[in-house]
Amino acid sequence: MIRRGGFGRGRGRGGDRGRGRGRGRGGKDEKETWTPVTKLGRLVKDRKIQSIEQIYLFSLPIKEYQIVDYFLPSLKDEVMKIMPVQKQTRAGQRTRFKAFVVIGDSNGHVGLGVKCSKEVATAIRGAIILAKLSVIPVRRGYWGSIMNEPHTVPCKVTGKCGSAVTRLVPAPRGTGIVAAPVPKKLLQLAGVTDCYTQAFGSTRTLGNFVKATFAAIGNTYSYLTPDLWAETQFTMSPYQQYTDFLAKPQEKRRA
Amino acid sequence: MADHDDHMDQDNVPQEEEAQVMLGFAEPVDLEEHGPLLAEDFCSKMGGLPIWLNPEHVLDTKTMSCDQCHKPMTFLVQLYSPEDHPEEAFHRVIYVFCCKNGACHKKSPQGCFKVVRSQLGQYNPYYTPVSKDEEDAAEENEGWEPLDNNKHAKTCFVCGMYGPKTCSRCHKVSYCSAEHQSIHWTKGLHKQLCGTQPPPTPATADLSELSISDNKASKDDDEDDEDEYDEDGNLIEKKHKKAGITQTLTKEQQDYANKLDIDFRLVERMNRFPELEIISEAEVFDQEALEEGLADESSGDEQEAEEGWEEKAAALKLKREKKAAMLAKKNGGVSKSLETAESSMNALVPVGDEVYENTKTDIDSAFLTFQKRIALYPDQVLRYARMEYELTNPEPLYVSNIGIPKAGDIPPCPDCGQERTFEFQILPQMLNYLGIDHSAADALDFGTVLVYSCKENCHVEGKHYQHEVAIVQHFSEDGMQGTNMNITPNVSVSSK
Repeated sequence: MIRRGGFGRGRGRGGDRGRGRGRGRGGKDEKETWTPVTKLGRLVKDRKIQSIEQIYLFSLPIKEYQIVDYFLPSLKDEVMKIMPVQKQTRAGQRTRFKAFVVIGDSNGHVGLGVKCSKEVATAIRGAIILAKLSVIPVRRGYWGSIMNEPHTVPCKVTGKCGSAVTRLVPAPRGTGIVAAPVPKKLLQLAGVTDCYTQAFGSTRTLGNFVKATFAAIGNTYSYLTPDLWAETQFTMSPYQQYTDFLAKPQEKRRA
Repeated sequence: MADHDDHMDQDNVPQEEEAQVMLGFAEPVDLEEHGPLLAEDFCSKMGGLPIWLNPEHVLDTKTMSCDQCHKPMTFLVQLYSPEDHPEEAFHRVIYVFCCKNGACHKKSPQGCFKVVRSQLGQYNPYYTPVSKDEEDAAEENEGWEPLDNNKHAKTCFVCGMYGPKTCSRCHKVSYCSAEHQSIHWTKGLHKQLCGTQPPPTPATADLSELSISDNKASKDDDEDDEDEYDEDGNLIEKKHKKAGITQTLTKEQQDYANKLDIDFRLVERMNRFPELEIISEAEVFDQEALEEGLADESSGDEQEAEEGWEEKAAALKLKREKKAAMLAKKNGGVSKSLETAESSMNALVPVGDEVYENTKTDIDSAFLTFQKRIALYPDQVLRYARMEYELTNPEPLYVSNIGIPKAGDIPPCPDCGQERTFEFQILPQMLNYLGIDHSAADALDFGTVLVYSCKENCHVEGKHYQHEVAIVQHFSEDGMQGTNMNITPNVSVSSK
């Protein structure tokens, strides 16, 4: 009998001899299941990684947005601006649309995506994917007494992009977010409840302004505060966690 | 769509008609419908034991050893890819072998995949076409039958390559090396099964078909589950039906068959990949929609359109037309007025404080392109490019911008001196089907494997396996850099 697995140019023997592979394989089924391509994706699909924080801890590059979807299913996206951009060509202008999308779960994760495309819908879709790929953890702290949940940024942080500079300052409980609408949206999606902000430079350029705020939010986890002065106990990267031989004990790294 | 153009443009058309890509999908072997995979089916498959096109001359482990660890390589995938033009390539199979140890891949990225090509002419001493009764011109052949001339070479039970050595006790099982013999003895069941005779058989049945050396009938059914077929006598009976046995087996025979089955599975778990069939299907996609997404990044010379640019454009157009009409009335020179009108369109470019914004983000654009293309068929494992003779073959789908092979990287065919062209590529989705533990640090991992083979499919008398080139490309280590921040390892993520 003729199998369905021939490839190539041979007449009658190669090529697509059997269309419709498998049983019960409708188009819908394929759209929902995710076949991972990268090693990290395979580990995530096998449930070998428990939270996205493990990925952040080792700065592993996230290349598939489905990984972020898997860990943070409750992400909400917000289109900040659709900006038409034009390029001068011999035959007139070529107009495309640039979409700025901010995504976050209001509980410590935000992402920002920028995409340019000929159609608005395509740009928004592409920007959402890029925003998911750029999701970053946000560190929150206290203004005064350490009780209940963290509600503000842990310290004064600043971020810069182009000429736009954004400075985030801790605020007491109940202040709310004191900011322009653009960074306010971003901080809300990050899960920061109270914050004072100061903006410098040309904030009319929305791209730079929102990127500056995003950088400031991201800097919360790169600031060394006194409670982090204790020495870190290193754990094993997800790539090495399940090897047969155990890692050497921790004394080595003191040397 | 790859429609054959009868009048091909010989000029340099920027978008020449490109052939479609044929995709390969991995599916479990369909035992009920087609039975186990046999050599005369000329199928494509991955994992399990290699099915040799030329059953008399099989590969030797000396040619198929990893460059790093010098152990015999594991069979990965074989593709049946026949050609029309060289007559000797009527039947043509490409075999891909790889080292199972991921550490070898990390040390020498290009020496752990080996590709060989094997071809047979239409009239060969091994296969003959099934005689067709009706004259069906469209269907050239209905299938092939093996010619039983007993010239089959002995193959190793563990790896499937040439097996000159045999078990010293029973002389029934062949091996390629002492290492594989010891694997089968200790980790397989051969210690218990060696020397035991299969129980006496009924007249029509022939349990010797269940013997291990070169029969596929009892083996290829392991994709369903890991449960042993202990109580399920029915299933074993069905298997035997395929092999031509029509009578039911006694309990003794069933036990023996079970043991052989378990034996095979044990050895498979140690050394081989799970066996699956590869089905081909053409890639159908909307070229327009795909290309739109590819050129999406904002180039430097784009400027933000002013507020209310649409109304302005419309107003200006009106003004221009009015002016042109007036000028046309005044004098007959229409063309001059149009030129002046067009130059005034430059006013649409706005002036402002910061016209040029830095909104570029660091993204891995090659990977995003790759992801977009495979999103149409997410579970494809192979992309085959040599589909048509007249049309150009599509370029390989790269997974990153680094490691793209240049023309000088691919050595020409050593036998005929012709250049090697891209034939197919293996995609990383295949790693999902190999049953390896991805969390191990030494797990097998690659971005894509590009296989280049001789353009002319040259044939050398006496040389049954010709080596081809495999180039491995890995993913880049970039993620979304987007911001200026770094997360330093000093920070511990405390989960309160």
